Parts: sequence; C-alpha cells; structure tokens
Amino acid sequence: MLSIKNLHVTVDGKEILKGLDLEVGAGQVHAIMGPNGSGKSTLAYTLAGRDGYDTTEGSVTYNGKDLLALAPEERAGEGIFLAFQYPVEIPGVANLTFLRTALNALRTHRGEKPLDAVEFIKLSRERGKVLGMDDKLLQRAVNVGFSGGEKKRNEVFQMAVLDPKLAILDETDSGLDVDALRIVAEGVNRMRGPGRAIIVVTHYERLLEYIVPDRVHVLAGGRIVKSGDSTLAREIERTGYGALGTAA
Amino acid sequence: MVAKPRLIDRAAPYAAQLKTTGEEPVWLKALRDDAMARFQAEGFPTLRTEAWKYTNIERLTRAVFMPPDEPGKIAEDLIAPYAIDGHRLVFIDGHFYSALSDLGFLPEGICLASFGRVIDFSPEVVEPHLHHVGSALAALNLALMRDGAVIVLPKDMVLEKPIHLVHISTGATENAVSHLRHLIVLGENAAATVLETRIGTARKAAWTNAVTEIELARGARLRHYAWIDETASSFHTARTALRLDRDAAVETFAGAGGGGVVRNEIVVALAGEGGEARVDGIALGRGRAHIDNWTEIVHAAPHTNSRQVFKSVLDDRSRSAFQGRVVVNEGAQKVDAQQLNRNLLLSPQARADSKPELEILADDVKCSHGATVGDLDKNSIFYLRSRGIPEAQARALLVEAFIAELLEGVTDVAVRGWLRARVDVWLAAERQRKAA
Repeated sequence: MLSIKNLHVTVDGKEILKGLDLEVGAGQVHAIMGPNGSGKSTLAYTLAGRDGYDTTEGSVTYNGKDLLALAPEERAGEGIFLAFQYPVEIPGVANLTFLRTALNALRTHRGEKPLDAVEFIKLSRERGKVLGMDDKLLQRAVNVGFSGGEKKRNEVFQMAVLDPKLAILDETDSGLDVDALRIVAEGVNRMRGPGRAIIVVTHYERLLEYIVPDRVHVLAGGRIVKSGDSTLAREIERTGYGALGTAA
Repeated sequence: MVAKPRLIDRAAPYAAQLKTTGEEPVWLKALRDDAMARFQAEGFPTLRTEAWKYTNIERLTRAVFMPPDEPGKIAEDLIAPYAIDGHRLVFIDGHFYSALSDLGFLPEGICLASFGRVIDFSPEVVEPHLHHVGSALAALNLALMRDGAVIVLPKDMVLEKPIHLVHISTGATENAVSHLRHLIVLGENAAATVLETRIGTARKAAWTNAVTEIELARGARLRHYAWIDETASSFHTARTALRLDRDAAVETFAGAGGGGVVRNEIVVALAGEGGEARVDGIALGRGRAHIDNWTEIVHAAPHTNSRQVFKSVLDDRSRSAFQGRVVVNEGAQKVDAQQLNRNLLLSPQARADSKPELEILADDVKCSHGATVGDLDKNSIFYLRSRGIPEAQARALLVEAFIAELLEGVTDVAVRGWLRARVDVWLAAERQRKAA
C-alpha cells in the first residue's frame, strides 16, 4: 500500500529524514518509535503533505501513485489520514460542521453522493459513541476548550468518521491518562481490518500495549535503524533507545 | 494677524443651513445654536486630529452637503431582505417614512415615534435627554437634524421584540446629507433590543451623519446592534453615545459590510457602579472601502466592566482602522476593561491600523488590550486540507469562522441570525469573485 524509498526531507534548510525506507502493506499496523528529534513527526507531516517539508531525494508511492505530487486534500481524498500530535483549534466552526464538510469533500472526491444532515448525524453519533464523544463535544467549536485527552479523542473520532485507508497517528498517546489511552486505543483497534493500514508514531511503548503492532521500526537520525515484531517495542522500553546505539 | 485655518472655512457654509422656523421650542433652538457654534469652532476633523489620524474626509469637505427636502425614491422590495420580526421605523434621506414603517403591537406606556412628531406634540419627552455628545460632526448633526426615532421605555418595561430602525440614503439630490438622530432612553430596570440598519443606494456622493444618543437608568439593559452597508460613493459618519447608570448593561455590535468611507464611533460612559458594556464590531471591506471604528469607554465609577472585540476582514485595497480608548477615572477601582482587535487581510494591498489608548487613573484595575493583523493561520488551513477540504473552501470556511466567532457574542438570537444573513451575503459575493 505504502512504499517509501530513500526519503530525504529538509525542513527550514535542515535535513531531517536522511534516506528512510519503509514498506507498509494493507491490513498491517506498523509502529514507528524513536527518540525526540529523530524525525518521526517530519515523516508524518511529509506523508500528509504539509508545506515546508521539502523532499530532496527518494520517493513515496501509495497504491501505485506518486504521493508527493498530490495536494494535502487530494491525499485525504485518496484515503490518507493524519491524527495530529497537536490538533488545531478552530474557533467559530462547530466540530460537526467541520467534519461533515470534510466527509462530503472526501465523498465528492470519490464520486459518492454527499450525506445530508440527518444521515451524517446518525453516522457521527454511532462512530462517536465508543469514543465517548458526547453531543456537547460534537457541537462545540473544533478543539476549542477541549482538554488534551478530548483533542486526541476527537482526532480518533474524525478518523472513525472519515474512514481512511491509511491512518497515521502522530504521538496520539502523548498527554493521555490510562483511561483515555484505553479509549483511544480501542477506537484505533476497531479500525483494524484487511483493507486498512495504520502507522502509529510514538515515543513510548505504552500505547503499543493496547494497539499491538505487526511491525515495529526504530527511527533515529532520520533513518530506520532497526525493525522487528512487537517484541522490539518491549525491548526498547526495557533498555532505552541508547542501548540500541541510536541515541540522537 | 493669524490666518484662519482652512478647515474653519469649510465649516462656515453650514451655518447658513441652521434654520429658525419659529415652530420649534426655544430650548431646542438654543441647543441647535450652541451645537452649530461648536461645529464652527471645531470645524471638520482632519488627519491632524488625533482621533481621525487614520481617516481622511477631506473629500467630504470639498462640497457643501445639504439635507434633501423630500425623501428619495427606493425600489419597493429594497428593505424586504432586511426584515426582522419586531417594531419597524423607516427613514429615507433623514426623513421619517411612515409607509414602510410598522410599529406592530406595543405595550402601553412606551414612546416609540419619529423625532419630528415628538417635537411637534410632546417635546417635553425629549428635552431632558437631548444633548451635545461631543464631536464636531455630532454637533453638526444636533444643529441640523430633522428626524430619527425616539424610544422611551418607562421603569420596568421589557420589550420582547427588537425595534428595527432602518435608514436608507438614496442620494436624492446632489451632495445630499442625512443628519439622522435617534434617542433611546430606558427607565429603571427596563430592557430592549434595538437594531439599526443603515443602508444606501446612492450612485453619487452622499453623506449619512448619524447620531444615536442612549441613556440607561439604573438596572436597565439594552442590546444595540447596527449594520452599515452603503455604496462605494458614500460617506458614513456615525456616533453612538451611551450613558449607563448604576447596574445598567449594554451589549453593542456594529457591523459594516460596505461603504466608501465609514466612520463609526461608540462612546460609553459607565457612570454608576456595576455598569457593564460589551462593545463589539466587525468591518468587512472590499474594493476601496475604508472602515474606521473608534471607541471610547469611560469608567467613571468603580466596579464597572467593559469588553471590546473588533475584527476586520479586508480584501482588495480596503482599509480598516480601530482606535479604542479606555479611560478609568480617579477612584474608579475594581474596573475590568478588556479590548481586542483582530484583523484578517485577504489581499496584500489591504491595510489595517490599530491603536489602543489607555488612560488609567486608578490603581486597582484590570485592563488588557491586544491586536493582531495577518493572513489566515497556516496551521488551520493545513488541518482542514488534511481532512480533505480543498484549499479555497478551507480558506472560505476560516474567514466565515473568524466572523462567526464574533457573532456568537450577539445574545439576541433573532438578531444574530439576521446579522449572520448579512455576513453570508458578503461572503457569497466574496466566493463568487474568487470563483470568477
């Protein structure tokens, strides 16, 4: 589904990713771990198409398409979703209005009929239930006045409604207490399925106790330095990144 | 011998417009004479006047504007889109226009009538409340005003539906001016909502010079909203002057969606303890529109609060200015005064000026101010695009949100919807232009 080859990315003239290779197949969950500053968020933003992340070398192919040639909204249209580490507050736009606009933009992109208000409310209530998204959170302005945990839950809720093919979760566990972590993880686990790939970017192993990945990669110094199965995460938890000889 | 400044010359021709018809009460004549003398002494403001440093009305002073003797003609359906369920008084070119007015059902004891009529039949109603409200143009208004609305609510009266005051400037004659004058007086614990719509159809230079004088007795509550939308060839100068007694509260919102030069002044005197003022406004500019909001909040008593939020959204070569003056008098302790000005520039040629002015003579007060000028937030645009919303749509949504956030502060739900409709018209035109 996703094939990243020798990816070099610079931000503000500084090279952050230095030849990253990664293959993610449909139905798989991959975890990308690494110390601070290793390039985890850069990878996430590059895949989502943020301005200012310049690819100087390498390629990203997504379902046979050159992903880097697409605008952010086109990538979303093709099924890519990024759960932000720091979700943006948008005063003046109700959460549900925002999400309905997004979903209908995606549906239009895919040549499907937009959902009317009633159909949409039904869908969002259903998807929001497991995440504990009550009506108040749905009606409020996007992320405005949300607690850290509510913001992260809102990201996973958006993912559940937008139904992506490739979801990238950027440090979705940061700032969550154990209960919130469990709720978020359950939301993600429900998304697992044969047609969908999920990339979980995290600093800590904690989240991976709840979302057990098929593959774990260690990113350090802008490259994948080690890959393994889910036991690799536990090993890192025990020995730290330093023991892998990968401290940034 | 010092040469007379030029600006005095430009005021001089207006003295001849001060008519003494012989039918007006003596006190009103005296008031008009005094006001004209003030205007003559002060003259038209220039860029050298600190309060007018961002707005040049030199063009206005080149001609002598005269009030038309008769209201101009308007299309029958002109005011239909502005309708709101309530009590409506319509004025055209400074004249009361009864054919389009509809007072609806009114409680007994209220005075809601045109200024001209009140002066003719019961001038004692307005005599204690009509004042000079402190600027050269407001003085000119007082000297030459003919009509407007008089709204007087007795003690404890609560009016449920909004009073809608509509003014249309048609440019009926060459260099026409409308010195529209409204007076709103709420007795103790009375409450009302007043919406002022000041629109225009003039295809040539026309000037609306409006003053709304407001007095709120102890515990009275007023919601005062204004929407200004005149043509590109027009001048619009307005002053809303409020005086709040103890525990009175006002919520004002002033929006401008068009006009050549718009100068909107709001002056609030918090004269009694516990007074509260919320003063919001928005300027939506395109073309060469120039929209200047100038406010002055005087905290004359302790335990008074004011909160101001002014925003502008500017496209093309339009300009906005915000000057917010906050005065806390000596001894006015425990005052809370906040002020925020946010400007969104949609074009590199657009310009916003912002200047807070604080004069604080008490020591136990909380005062804050802030201003921002800029483009839409890049993080927000990316966030929306990452969810599949195309860039142009994302930008439009964020502009809408920038305005919607401010409208959330409008507590009259019907008026909020009405204002929302005005904003939507502006946004729709904006989208059409972008698509073209």
